[in-house]
Amino acid sequence: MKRFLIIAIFLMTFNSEARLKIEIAKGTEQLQKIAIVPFNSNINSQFEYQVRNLINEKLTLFGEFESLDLSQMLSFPFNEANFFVRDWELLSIDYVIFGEITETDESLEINYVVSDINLKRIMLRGDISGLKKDIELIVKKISDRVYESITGLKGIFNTKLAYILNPEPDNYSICISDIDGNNEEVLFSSNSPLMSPDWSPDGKKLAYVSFEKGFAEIYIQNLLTGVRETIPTLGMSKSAPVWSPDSKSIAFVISMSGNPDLYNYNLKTKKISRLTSHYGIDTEPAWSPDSKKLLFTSNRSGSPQIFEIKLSNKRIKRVTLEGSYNSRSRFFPDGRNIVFVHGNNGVFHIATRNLKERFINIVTETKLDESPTISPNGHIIIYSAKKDDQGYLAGITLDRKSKFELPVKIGSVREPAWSPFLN
Amino acid sequence: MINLQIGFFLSFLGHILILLMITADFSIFYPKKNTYETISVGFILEKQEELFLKKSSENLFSLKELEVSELKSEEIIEPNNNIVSSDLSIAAKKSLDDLKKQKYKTAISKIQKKFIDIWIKPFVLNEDIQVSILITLAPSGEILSRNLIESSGNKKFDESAMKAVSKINFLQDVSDLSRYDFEKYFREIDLVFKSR
Repeated sequence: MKRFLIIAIFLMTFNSEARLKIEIAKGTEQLQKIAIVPFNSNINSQFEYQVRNLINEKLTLFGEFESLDLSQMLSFPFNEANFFVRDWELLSIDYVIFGEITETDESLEINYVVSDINLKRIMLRGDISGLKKDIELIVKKISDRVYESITGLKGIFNTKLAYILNPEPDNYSICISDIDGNNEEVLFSSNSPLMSPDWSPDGKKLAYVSFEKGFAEIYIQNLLTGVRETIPTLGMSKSAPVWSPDSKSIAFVISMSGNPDLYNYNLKTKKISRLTSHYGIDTEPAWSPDSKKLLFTSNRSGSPQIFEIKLSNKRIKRVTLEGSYNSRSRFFPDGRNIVFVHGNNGVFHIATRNLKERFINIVTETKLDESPTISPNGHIIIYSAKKDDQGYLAGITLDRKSKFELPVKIGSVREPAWSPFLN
Repeated sequence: MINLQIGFFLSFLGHILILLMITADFSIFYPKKNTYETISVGFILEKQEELFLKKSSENLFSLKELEVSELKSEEIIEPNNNIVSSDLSIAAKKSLDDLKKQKYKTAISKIQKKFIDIWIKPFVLNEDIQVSILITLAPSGEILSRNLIESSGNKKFDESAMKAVSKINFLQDVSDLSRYDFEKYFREIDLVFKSR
């Protein structure tokens, strides 16, 4: 009995409090520091400089990294044997990229290593070879892999942007370019308006609207062959084509007697089915990643709002509940979030929303932002903005909200469409 | 006879010992005014002015009452310096409480800021995820161990938090606290990294 008492009293002296919890809900604003060491090469390779420069340009494109100047580097390793973490720790570098280039008459081989200075370990060992003339593609692939090993996000340096260029009245063209605006190609030019470019899921075709026949018609152009087809409807005004992610159909809008409604065109059966039949305006369809639902803009409840229609039973429900104007919505690749244009009192912002939540997150601050397009890794949005009445393309990363602008073109640039991942 | 006496005496000693153990833990007896308490050799000499004239049980748990939720904010909350009461012991007690609270909250804010400045937060869109990392500290502030106790489900997110914690070796803000406060609250800290 005495012993029991002693033990009981002894145990009572122990505290049973909860541990101190400290919450950290935001991170540093500082950029991660990377160093791209001059590659070792068998000949004094001019390509070394080009490769290193291009990789540097790509990795610093979206304002996520700060790259170390050559003049500050303490050593120039090219393989793991002559790589010393301390040389980079001293400079507070987070990641180092180094390696070797082997050059022959027509081809290049690049062996590269990405090292994490904080964890003191190698993140990636890569080996890529190709023809010298494909140097840009080689660089894009290296940049993608380096980016992936550092951020965990799939790289988008090899993806493309499609957009409408309007340098002067009666002069329109559909163009595609790299993400940084380089390597612009014109796909089609016309004296009549062109609109709404949309990529096929395999990246081989582009659908768009052209007024060359005198009314709005949808064309599907094969990027390789240049062959153009249309969706067969008898002279009806058609617009806003969007390719389903499963490649089976194209949803679009037919304006019958001035009343736009949603339709779906099955690419295999060539049959068109009607999705909505409301006296209001139904337009701007956008597919969910599983191809089962479409978001669209409708004014059926008084002002432009975003609705969702399930393809299986044609059931419609309203998605946006706040604000006087919501339109031009797109699903994120995760299928859980959407991006759209949110308007209030004449000011338009790009906003995102988790479909399970009510509140919206404003992404951009400039006033006349339109046509948001999402990168295939769901991390960046490119949209068209206006400066002095001229349209230009701007982009923003969704985590840091770091902004960038694509090179200004002569004339207005509109309606950007981000390609899917390309091979 | 003798056994009985020894037995009684030892039992009496044992009970006194237990009583002393309990009282030492809860500090029922207060030392006199102007006592000095050293923490660790060669580091800090801390003067603790105890202004209490009589014991009061409510003081024992003054820090325990602090809700952890109060300390989520990053701002340092200024102590309330407006002491209206004319009773000296109550006023003195309040200012000592405030002093303790402020030091406690200041230490937490500073620790929070240290991790915010070093954490490279990975991209998570409109989602609530969190990872918990348990650290143990020495009274000097040195981080003795780091352990992931609750994953967020996102490997990159967990890794980024572990990286941030690995980059820091010292939390010198705890060296400012009393030994008592340190042992009770800061010996083990649960760092919760949240996506939003």
